[in-house]
Amino acid sequence: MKKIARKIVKNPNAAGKARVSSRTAEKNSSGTNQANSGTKKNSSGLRIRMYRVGFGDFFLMTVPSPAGPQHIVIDCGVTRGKTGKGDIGTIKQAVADMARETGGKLALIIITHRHMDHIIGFSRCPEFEGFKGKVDGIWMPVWENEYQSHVKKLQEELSEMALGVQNHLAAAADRSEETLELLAMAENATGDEMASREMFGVAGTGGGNNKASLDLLKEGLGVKPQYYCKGQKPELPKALVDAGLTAEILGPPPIDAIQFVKLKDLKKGVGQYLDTNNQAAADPKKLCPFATGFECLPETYAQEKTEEYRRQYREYAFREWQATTRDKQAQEDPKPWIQIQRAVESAQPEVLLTAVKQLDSFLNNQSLVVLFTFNDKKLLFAGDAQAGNWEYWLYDDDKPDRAPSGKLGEEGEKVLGHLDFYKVGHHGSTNATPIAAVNAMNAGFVAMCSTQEDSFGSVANASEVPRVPLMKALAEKQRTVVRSDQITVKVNGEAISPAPDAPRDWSKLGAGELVIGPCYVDYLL
Amino acid sequence: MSLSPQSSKFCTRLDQPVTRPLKAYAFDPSMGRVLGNEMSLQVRYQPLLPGPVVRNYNYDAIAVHDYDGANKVWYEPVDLDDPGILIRGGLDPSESDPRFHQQMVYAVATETIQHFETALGRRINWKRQDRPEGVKGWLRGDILVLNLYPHAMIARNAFYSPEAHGILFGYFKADDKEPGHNLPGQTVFTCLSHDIIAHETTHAIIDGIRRYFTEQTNMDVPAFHEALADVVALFRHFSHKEVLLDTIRRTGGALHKYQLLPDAATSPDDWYEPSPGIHRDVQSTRRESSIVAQISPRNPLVELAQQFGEATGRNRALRSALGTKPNSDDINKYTEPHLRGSILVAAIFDAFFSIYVRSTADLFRIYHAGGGRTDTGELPDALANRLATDAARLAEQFFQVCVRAIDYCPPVDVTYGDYLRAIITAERDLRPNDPMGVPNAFMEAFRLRGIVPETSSYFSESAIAWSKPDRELNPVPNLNFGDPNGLTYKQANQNGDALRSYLQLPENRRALGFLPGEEIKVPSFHPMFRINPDGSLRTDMVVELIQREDIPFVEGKKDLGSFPFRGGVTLLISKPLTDELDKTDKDKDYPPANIRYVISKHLHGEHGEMRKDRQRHYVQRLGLMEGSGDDRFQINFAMMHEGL
Repeated sequence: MKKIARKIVKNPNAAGKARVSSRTAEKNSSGTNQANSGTKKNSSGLRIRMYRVGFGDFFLMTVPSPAGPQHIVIDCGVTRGKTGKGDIGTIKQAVADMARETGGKLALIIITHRHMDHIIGFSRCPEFEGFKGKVDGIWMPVWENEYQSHVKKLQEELSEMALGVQNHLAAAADRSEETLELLAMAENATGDEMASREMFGVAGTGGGNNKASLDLLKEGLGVKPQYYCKGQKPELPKALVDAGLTAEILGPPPIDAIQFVKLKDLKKGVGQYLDTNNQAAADPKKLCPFATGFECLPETYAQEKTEEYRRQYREYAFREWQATTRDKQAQEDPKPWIQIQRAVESAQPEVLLTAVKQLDSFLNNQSLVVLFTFNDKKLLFAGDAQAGNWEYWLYDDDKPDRAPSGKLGEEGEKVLGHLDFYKVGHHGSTNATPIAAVNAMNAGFVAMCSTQEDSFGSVANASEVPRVPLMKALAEKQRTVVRSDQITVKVNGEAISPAPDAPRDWSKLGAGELVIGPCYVDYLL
Repeated sequence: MSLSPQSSKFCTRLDQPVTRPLKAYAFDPSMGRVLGNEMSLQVRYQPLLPGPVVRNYNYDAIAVHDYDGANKVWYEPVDLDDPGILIRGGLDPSESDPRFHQQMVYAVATETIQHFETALGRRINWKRQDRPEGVKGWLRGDILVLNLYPHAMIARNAFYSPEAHGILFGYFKADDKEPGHNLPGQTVFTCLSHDIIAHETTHAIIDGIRRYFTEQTNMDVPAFHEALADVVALFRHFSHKEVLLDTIRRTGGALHKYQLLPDAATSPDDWYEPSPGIHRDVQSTRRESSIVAQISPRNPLVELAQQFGEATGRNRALRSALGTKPNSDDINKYTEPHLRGSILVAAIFDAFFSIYVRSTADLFRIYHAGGGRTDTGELPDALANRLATDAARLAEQFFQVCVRAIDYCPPVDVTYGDYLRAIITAERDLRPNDPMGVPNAFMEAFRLRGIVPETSSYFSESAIAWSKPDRELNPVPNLNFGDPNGLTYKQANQNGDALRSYLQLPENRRALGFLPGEEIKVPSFHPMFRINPDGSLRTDMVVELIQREDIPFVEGKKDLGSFPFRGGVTLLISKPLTDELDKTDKDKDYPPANIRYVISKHLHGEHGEMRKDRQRHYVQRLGLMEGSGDDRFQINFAMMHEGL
């Protein structure tokens, strides 16, 4: 069997490569890890390459086989996030590297779910068109199945709604942090940057959208995708079977277990709000419910009455909107009806916020979760799966109710207790790696998290992605957490530094090696 | 103009009127003028300002503010004291005049509040925000006046928003393709639906009664809020006499039938023949006829928000009281609040219809013995009237049972099982000699739908009722029970102090099951004035006491986030007897009052640990681990409604 690792050792890219092995890990003065050559032999010859693309996933897994290395691409995307900093502009370079590395041939492409930060690369980077006829298999979550009409309809509705949210927000004058976060989520769902392009000073690397990516994957690569959910036996391309790889699908739950992915009738929740609001914005006259004669100003309600009457009116009608000595905000704005207007208007963006978040987690929960086994090594790729997706296989109980004790089922314990590699869900957000799962995970493996700090959430709100305490918890029990934003990458000769708050500690690496390349980090195990 | 009674030295002062007649739709505009759909409500008289705005300082006051947030305009407020309006008993129903909308929202909300207050035996108040101990007076999160915004937004939705201190009603264009009884694209106003107003007002009322029933700690909590709001709206249907009579005629007295007989039918073949039995699968198809008068309409009594449902393209009402056939499976299957809520609604209506059938069985036996038939849609007026009276009275009784039980629920982490226990306890407490077997009907109906209490060991009435304190508790001195119009500010402060000093004794804290160290909060204490079956007045006080712990999602790792875990008790305290009152100086010291019930959810013990795990699990599942602050666990009614 050809070992890919050896190839890398023989042909190190002196410009960018640094390595850390299980035996020795020293830090040089610049802070990068250097490793001695001749370290512990890779026992399996597997390699997992995490490209640093910013906030998004792009993984290349390479499996040695009698016929030479076989390559699997797992997702390829990036999104800008609410700060615009998520897309660091390296995805095209990363895809070019992948195309070189694989010689333009892939055994398998896995699409975990239809978010921009997992698929935009396929339409943004022209290299993928060159893969036509050279891909042996494509896997997608069952939710993408075109042949089940209700699934297709649902996906269309979701996209339509996301687009609606995006247009709605792009048209809104307000540029609060909340709006930006919503817009970023909506953009992620459509992959269309047009609506929000002007909002950030930073331009993304540009090009492509989710629909184009999915079209290419479903029809443009010359292979019919397979759609999977938990309980189905996936069909691995022959070359991978020959290599000795096996795979198991853990998620998403089957469509009839819909309560696990918390499907809500989003169309009725947000969709209606958007429909009508967009309608109103387009032609306000259509939705003025009453004759203009009924309109009035609150100031004039009681104008013709006595002073005493006016005083009473303010007292009773606006009791809690009156300025009080205690409330500074109210004091600054003495007109109570203005406060009422604000209260009524601000009740609605909150609706949108919740709805867009639901849409976001709904799509995340569609994630295809794959457990690979190769030479007794277990590798878990969890996509962006959130609670509903995890719990379906984590617990024995087939009810969403779940045992209140939170005790894992046999399968959950077995999978999580014997991991060698874990692709951290959803770029390190707390909602995507259940604590019960972290607790059940064994010691000493490597977790890779493709992320870019300061793209989503906020530290103040304890919702930053990646969530620092979660990264810490993952790094316990001699586990090594590798974040893509910990490494320096170069684009057009310009170096992009590691994220300031992403301290690298790879000293506990138990097995295998970590090698830093020009735009990626490799885990050889 | 203000309607304050005039005084003169020549004659006696005029009494304040007791009620104010106001017109409203019994259902919504889509029902047209038939069947008393345009009804006159007798709501309690309150002095009003234009809006309408209630002109008093009561804690249950409401104010209608007609600000249209979509068009950014205000609409002229209605002055219900205008002689031109007074003389005709309120404005006539009209979809095109916002002043009628304001009138209807005011009337139905007031009617709902009134009914709650009658059932509870006390005045309600709106939500009070969580406050640091010892802080008195108004805080920004306190709702002093419930604001009703009849045209707040363009949306197929209406929701209670504590942040906006009120209820936002939306309006929207009816579905272009399937508008039901509406014109395609016509404007539909949620504020003209009796059901929607009653439903939303109920959310606001319950939030005022129980602060922590909006904190999502288990999957029953949001569903409970929804279910109760639906139940309240549905039981109101039975007070509409004409509709009730018509439904009785068209169902041959079987009110639980889902489909009615048509207006007219040329031959029995055209009729929809429902299969026998109480429960009807709502999905059952109906046989269509080409003649409108021959189409079987759906039973309006069990249907909720018909116009809204149809205008949003559902081709049916929004929800129905008759869910699926009783089964104990749904309760383990449904987590979405409305679906889960509909299980509770269906269980309550199962109980209601069982008692209705049981209590009217003798009438039918007499009628059948005389050769009368119930399958032709031709019930004699006398029988129909008698059935209508019974049904209306029963509906009122069931409404009261459902509402009273809220005061017998634990203060936090409520479950359906707790609610069943509360219903049984309240019934045993207030009507111990009920001849109809109402508690039993509830138990059976709940059991058939898989709703069982978590902690009781047997499924018998006495085991399900909350037990009385198992040992003698110290009575609470210095409580002031005030009078039925509520406590004065001074009285309220006195009671707050009395309860806090009672809780300072470690012995009392221990006896009530509290942890020794943590602070105990007193979110509410309300005197209740209820009528005993013998007509005498009973005075109690319901008190909530709560402790809170901050629990990390992962033991020992607080930085991964934590959630508020609450435990506490609901106390029912009896007013001391009059002869005891006489022994003391009434203005200073009040004799100690006995605690009759301690309804608890502890922080500790086996059940406490189970609850902690359940909550940890549940909020993680909701994706609420991220973020900080207790507010994120609150129900967002705007999103919950998904179109109401």
